[in-house]
Amino acid sequence: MSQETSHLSSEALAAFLSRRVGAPEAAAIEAHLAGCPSCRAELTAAHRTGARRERPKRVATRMAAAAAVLAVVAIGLRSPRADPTSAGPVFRGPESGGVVSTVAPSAGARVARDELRFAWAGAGPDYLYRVLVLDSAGAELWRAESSDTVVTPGADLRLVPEVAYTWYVDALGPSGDSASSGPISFGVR
Amino acid sequence: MHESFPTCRTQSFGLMTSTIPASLSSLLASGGGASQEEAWAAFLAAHSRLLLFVARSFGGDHDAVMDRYVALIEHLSRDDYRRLRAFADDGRSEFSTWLVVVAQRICLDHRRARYGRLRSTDDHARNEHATRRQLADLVGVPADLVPLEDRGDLPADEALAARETRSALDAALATLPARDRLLIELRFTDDVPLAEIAGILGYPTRFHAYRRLNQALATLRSALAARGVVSPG
Repeated sequence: MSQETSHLSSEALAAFLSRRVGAPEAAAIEAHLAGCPSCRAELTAAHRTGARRERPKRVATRMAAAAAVLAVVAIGLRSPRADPTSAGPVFRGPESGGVVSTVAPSAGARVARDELRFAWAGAGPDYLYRVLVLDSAGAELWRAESSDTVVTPGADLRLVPEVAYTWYVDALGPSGDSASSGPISFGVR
Repeated sequence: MHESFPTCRTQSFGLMTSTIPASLSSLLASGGGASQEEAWAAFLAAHSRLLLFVARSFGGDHDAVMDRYVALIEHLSRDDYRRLRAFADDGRSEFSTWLVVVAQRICLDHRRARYGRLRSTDDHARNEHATRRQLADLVGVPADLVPLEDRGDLPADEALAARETRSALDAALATLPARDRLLIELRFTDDVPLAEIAGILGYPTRFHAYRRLNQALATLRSALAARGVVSPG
């Protein structure tokens, strides 16, 4: 099959996705992928297929973890807000390099879950903001979009005490410029 | 058209090799006859969900999916399980990841054999053009000067300027490390969201991919400036 000789082998693609290649081979694979739309399409499709297959498992794991602490975090929380994840992507391009100054929670802070608020300094008039919370593996747990500079997470953000999380906020300006706060670690108690 | 890519199966970088699933090792060790048929049935029982998942991902009705599934298992069992033995010989990746890649390739070949190669549509070309123009904007090159194809409707001097700018952009791209070029191609040619790019390239978060992309764009701007293509801003 000509595919096997002129394009990346299935083994090379799979090893690259599995991060099981050394630096010299990774560089060769990346160079090929950069110039080969066909192999890039295969790579992206394989990643998407793998991600879709993994998703129910991750959700189940998160749900199990969340269930263990549900009694703790469910008390005193607000009613769930409209699902912020249902909105389509707003921030398409890379940021212009600007920085959003964050206020709270500050880096390394441990706050009571029912007092958790994400706050930052406004980047300018008519900016839109997107706040993301990631788990320790970098997987997205929660997001919200707002034109305000304070967001109070609803019950849909389930956090486990004494576990490290990361949050950041992206800002999109009215003329398409954007900025980001950079990652800030925090936890709940 | 594609560059030749050397096979690397004999190279070893001392990396961890994957465990071959029991269902596969039993199949490959089976001597033929009834025991091999049993092992093959056990292999399919263990992996048919993944194969069906890939077969479904190509769309179509139930018959089309089952058609692809049959093609998959026929291909995997061909020549005394030659394709599966290739994994056992290589063994670097997760078996499920490898099986997804192989199954996708088999499904693609199956579709091409039936319907021929899909020609790129006008929409695809327009999208590619649009995302490439976005790259031009971001590195400060007037987008109109970076056509993907030569345009016959431009006056001679504008056509020349467009070709020179496009050539400068391609040359500047070529100076980037392969990983950065791949990042840029995924983002601006294929329009893959940064969250997915982060997963594909192993960045911990999309934020890391953002940062890397910005650094690569800054390098591109410098390379373009060195070639006399100056940002209008």
